[in-house]
Amino acid sequence: MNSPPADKGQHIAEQGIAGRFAMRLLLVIGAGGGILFLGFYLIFIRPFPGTFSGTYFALRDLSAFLVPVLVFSMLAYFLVVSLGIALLSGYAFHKIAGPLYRMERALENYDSGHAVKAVFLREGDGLVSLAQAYNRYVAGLREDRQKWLAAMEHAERLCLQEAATCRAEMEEALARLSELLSRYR
Amino acid sequence: MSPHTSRHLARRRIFLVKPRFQGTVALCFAAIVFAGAALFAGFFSQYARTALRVASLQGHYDFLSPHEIIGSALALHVLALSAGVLAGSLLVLLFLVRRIRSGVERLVETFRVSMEGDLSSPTNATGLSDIAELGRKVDASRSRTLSRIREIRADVEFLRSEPLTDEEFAKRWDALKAAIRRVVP
Repeated sequence: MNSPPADKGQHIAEQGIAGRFAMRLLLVIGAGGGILFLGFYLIFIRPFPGTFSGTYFALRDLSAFLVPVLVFSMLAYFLVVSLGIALLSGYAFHKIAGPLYRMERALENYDSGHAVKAVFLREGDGLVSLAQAYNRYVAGLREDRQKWLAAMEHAERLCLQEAATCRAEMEEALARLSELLSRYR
Repeated sequence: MSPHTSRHLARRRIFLVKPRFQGTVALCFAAIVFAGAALFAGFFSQYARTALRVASLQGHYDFLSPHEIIGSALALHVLALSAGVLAGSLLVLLFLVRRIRSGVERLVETFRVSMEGDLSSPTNATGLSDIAELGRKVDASRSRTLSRIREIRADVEFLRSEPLTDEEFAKRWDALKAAIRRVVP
């Protein structure tokens, strides 16, 4: 595992992903607001005609014209900011989605009957605690399996030394094995 | 394909690791942006139309452009929009992080109790759908492991309890060892 082992450190790593994402979110939303203001500024900064009637009609026209302008600009704002945040969240959350994907592959590998491999995450990935918990679980099961086999192989070695007590040794090994297996429920 | 191109493709980063997960996250943020944009359009349209109408009814036009009438209100509305969208997005982020963390903590806890021998208690992983689905896969894997262990236990009990001939006993002993080796190969 290429990440700090302590749970506290893993929480800090996940908070770091969220913190960086929040900072980028601030930038995207700030830029969206800035562009929106600039767009409206360019529309509203155009001077009125010099005459009284010209200004009067320009004001009335602008009032009627405002709704479609607003609808169009808000649609553009929504699309631009949402696209920005979508790209940002896609990038930031692939550090969570990646480990989830790897865990799914690891479980498929676990169920397939092929040699079970440990889950290794990429630098900067989140959910390190999950990968570590899975690796510890697999290592624990493997250790237990070794104990079960060791009990049987010990009996086999004793069998080679003393053929007369072979069956008794094997039955004793089976009793030990039964005791070891009984913790699983 | 040239070696350079194939190397380039092999190193290409997979951006959308889990499209459903990353897409759901992006949609949550898009909903916030859409709500903010709709509220902005509603409030600003109402304010600007009233302000422009009132301005058009004045006797003297002491302004050169619409910006002098609604510029400051526009800035305030854009500021409120940005602050609202940012606050909403941060709340969504906080919510997502909490949901992911609670789901992952359940999975970590499941692996921990599995190490203690409990392979039957369900994970009940809450949180996002992908984490809940991973929880179901973990449960399925644990269940299959428990089935294998139960089969081994049944074989052990059979060997211990049944009066078998030495030949039959040896055959079943070897089969038992093979079955044990299939647990986390």
